[in-house]
Amino acid sequence: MASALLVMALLLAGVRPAPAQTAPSPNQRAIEAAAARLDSLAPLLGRLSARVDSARAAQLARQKEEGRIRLDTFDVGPIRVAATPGQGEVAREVFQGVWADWEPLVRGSENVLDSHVFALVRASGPWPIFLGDSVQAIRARRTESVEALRGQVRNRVAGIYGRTLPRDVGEWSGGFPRATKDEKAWASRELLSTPSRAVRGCYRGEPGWCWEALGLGDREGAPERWYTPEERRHLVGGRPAGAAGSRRAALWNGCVEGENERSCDLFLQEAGFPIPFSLDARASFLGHALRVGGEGALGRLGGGEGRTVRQRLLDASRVSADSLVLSWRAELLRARPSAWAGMGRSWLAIVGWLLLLAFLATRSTRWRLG
Amino acid sequence: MILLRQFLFLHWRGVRWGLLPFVLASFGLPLLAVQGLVPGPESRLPDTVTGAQMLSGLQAWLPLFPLLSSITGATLALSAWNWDHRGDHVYALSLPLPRWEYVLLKMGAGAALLLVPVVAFWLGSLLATTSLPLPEGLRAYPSAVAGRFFLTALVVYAILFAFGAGTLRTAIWILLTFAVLSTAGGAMLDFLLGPIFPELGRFRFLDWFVDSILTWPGPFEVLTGSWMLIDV
Repeated sequence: MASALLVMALLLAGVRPAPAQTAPSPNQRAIEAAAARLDSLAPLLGRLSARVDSARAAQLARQKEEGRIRLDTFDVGPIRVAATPGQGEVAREVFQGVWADWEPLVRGSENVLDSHVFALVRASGPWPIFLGDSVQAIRARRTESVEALRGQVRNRVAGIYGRTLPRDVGEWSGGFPRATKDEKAWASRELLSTPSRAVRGCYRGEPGWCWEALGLGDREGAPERWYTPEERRHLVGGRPAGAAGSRRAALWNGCVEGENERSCDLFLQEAGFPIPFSLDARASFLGHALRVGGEGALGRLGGGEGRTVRQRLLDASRVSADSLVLSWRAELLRARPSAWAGMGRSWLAIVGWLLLLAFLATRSTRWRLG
Repeated sequence: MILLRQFLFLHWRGVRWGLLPFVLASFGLPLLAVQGLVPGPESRLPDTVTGAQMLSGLQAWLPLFPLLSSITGATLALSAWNWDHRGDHVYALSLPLPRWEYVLLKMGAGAALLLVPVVAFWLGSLLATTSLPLPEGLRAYPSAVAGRFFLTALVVYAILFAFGAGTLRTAIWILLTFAVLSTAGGAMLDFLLGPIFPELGRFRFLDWFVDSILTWPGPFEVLTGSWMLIDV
């Protein structure tokens, strides 16, 4: 038994796998085959990756190209305009219309617009963003009218020139004139209907009253000259009375109900006496002075400290004080609004509509049956 | 001409009592509008204040003028087809007239009858403005306002007359289409088509429609002018 055990141990110690037992398993062969296959595909993978990268790069370049805004640029007077393709004609029409109204006001000062570019984009959106203070972006929907675009352009141009006004002139006029027909018509309405002794005097052709009504007369005792006591009461009546029980309300009641002049004056001193002509009318006067002054008027308006607003306007216009206000008054009377305005073309439109509606009435299906 | 007279007479017979309140209103409205605008003899108000009060006092009445003219035109238009609808258009079909001539004669007769309330309005305006002492700087425009009154009444009359000339089915189709376009031609259009057609998606039918009819050459552009009997 022992010897058998010894032989077995010796045999076991000397056991080595036979060559048949060291051959790879089927799984291992499959793995190695797959690995070899993958290795053979590596160059192809490399080539494909390169193609994907190049396609992505081309797509990005295309998107960048499409995203780039193409603009046509041209000049209208001193205004440099940039418009998207297809909008050139409209842009030209808009800017030519605006410049025709503005040119008489700013002759000799066109260089103010040199550093600005007006970019007109008429689209449904999204609108591009223009960077830079010198780019004046005019953005509008396709359905907006040419008149609406003109309004936007006017505001921009007025804003640019408004920054060139001396501070006191800018505060007095409320900014640069808009140079529209409505501006004169509105000022005309004020000349004819503002409840102020000063304005009525201006309407009657007294130049001194015109300067008073513009707030450019002697400031001492001006409010009492501008308005009679009844007009001051009317002014107070048109303002909110203030919270019940407050000093303002008491003054209001004393003025309007009690017809007490002192109450009216105190109320207006606190609330502020309005200059008889509004900001719009004053801006219209500023525009008139610049037009009359012609070349270099805007330049003469600015500069030189210590001048009053009235003096600046006279220097800009280079005419006498009486001549300036009386010519402005005459223009306002010429621009007087008329209730008959537009009736002629209303008639025309309505005749057209009548004919169309008569045609439709005769073509009704009722009359075409049978 | 004889036929037109006949149509005029027929229409007048059918509408005279219904039109009477409008004739009276057309005459009386301008007179009402200027009531209280003239200060009493004891008033110490200056001309300037009187003028400003006159203008602001008239403004409160402004919407009533175009409203009255529209209602007058509508009344005449709807009354033009009253008899025909009641009699199922037998009368019209029995006349030895081409149908288009029948419609035009009817339309002309109704338009001529419009002159009755318009003349009443004009006379009322003349009386109202001549009775007022106008302050310096203000003028009266009775004829201009009467002209607008006539044009507004005429265009409302023509539109409703054309509607009345059609069948009920046509009228319903038109109104339905308008209602659908008004509601769908807005945010819904933007929602459905905006991603594909951005321009169409931002179109607002109602805004476009109102804008078109109120600006020249729209039919209601006349409404946007000045209706002030007294102005600068």
